[in-house]
Amino acid sequence: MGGGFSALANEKNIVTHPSNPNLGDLPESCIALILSCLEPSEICKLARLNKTFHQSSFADVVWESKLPENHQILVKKLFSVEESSERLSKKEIFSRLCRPIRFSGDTKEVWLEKGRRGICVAISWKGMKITGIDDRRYWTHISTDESRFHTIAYLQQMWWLEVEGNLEFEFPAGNYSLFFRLQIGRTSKRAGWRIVSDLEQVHGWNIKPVKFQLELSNGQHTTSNCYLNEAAGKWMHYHVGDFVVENSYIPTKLKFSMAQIDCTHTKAGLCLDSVFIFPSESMKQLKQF
Amino acid sequence: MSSPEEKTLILKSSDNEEFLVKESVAVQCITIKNLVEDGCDLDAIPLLNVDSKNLAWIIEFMEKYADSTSTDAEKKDFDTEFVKKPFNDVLGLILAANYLNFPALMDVMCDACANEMKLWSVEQVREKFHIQNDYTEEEEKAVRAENFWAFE
Repeated sequence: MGGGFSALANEKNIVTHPSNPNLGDLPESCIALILSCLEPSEICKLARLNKTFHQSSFADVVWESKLPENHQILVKKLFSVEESSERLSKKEIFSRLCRPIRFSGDTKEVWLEKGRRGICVAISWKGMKITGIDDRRYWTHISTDESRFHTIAYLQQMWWLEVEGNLEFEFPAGNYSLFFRLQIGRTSKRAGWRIVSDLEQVHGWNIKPVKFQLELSNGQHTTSNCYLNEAAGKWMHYHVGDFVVENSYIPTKLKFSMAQIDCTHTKAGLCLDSVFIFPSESMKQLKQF
Repeated sequence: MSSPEEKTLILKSSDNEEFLVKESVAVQCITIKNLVEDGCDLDAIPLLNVDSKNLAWIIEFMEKYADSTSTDAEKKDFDTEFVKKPFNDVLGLILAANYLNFPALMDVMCDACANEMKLWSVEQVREKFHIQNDYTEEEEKAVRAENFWAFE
């Protein structure tokens, strides 16, 4: 009987609670629980209140629920050997994960959405297999700040457009959507204005659609045929398909492609940046690259 | 009318008021659950850090949550009304729930407290909720810099 009773009588209760408590009367553990109800930016804002709030903001309980359930795997995969062997706090893991991390020889990038615990991946064209990519008659590589990888591939003209890529990644369980980020025509900056250049070169996109495919090793498969008939000079996200991840602890293996190999017509004037994968609910991601 | 096997407990507040609560309801407080499992045979369980005002509210909350007929939607509506209390009372319930180790009540009250605080700037929170700023200007700047990533 003694253990429980003395817990009520003694533990953390040497000072009886004030009858009209203020926030300053709360122990760190309670403040940490309050902070855990807030968004990361709100937590970090209130960490400035005083030293107790600051200290409480470091508690693992504040950040645990904001991390994907498989974050330990992601730490091992993405952080350096030194970092992943240290005992990182959940806050440190969170802050590192929500800034983009390059992997796969710098051709891929992953980050955690601050608000929704969703993992997003971007794959540069450099991480894809593109027919004729090194042949300067067909493709040029352009440095630009309009891509998060600072480079895009521009198709001058070709009969055979074929782009393929794959990814093996431990996505946390959930629903995801995959997009190609493309632009018809190329742009340049003149006196601070962004203008479409060589528009007369653009052709072939409204004759036959481009075939987009997504295939997972567990059998999920989608195909969509789409005319690239958007206005030139505008980056668009072409939706290839969606997939479901059920198990956060085994890698999801997927392949994606876009192709227009109908040899009756040439295609010209297309910018290829990257493929994006993010949680299906995160439509706002489309506004940023 | 409780069944013959249904045990009731007497919970005594710090100001010596006694409340009769069914054991199955009271054990939502883990501290009380541990006492019962340890075989506590006191007539009344003294809760030295919970006054009658808070204990009455806690019992109201416990009974709602122990009621197997109340749906999630009804509990949510109940929570919405329950938290409409002066801020100091919200804090008092957080302290009491912490003392009694009552997770469901902690979650609801901490959420209510968080919702109140997030409406205000740091300076406003300090003023409204009487928090003493024990930082120097440099120290506060350092905290801001350390957390820059959260605002990107």
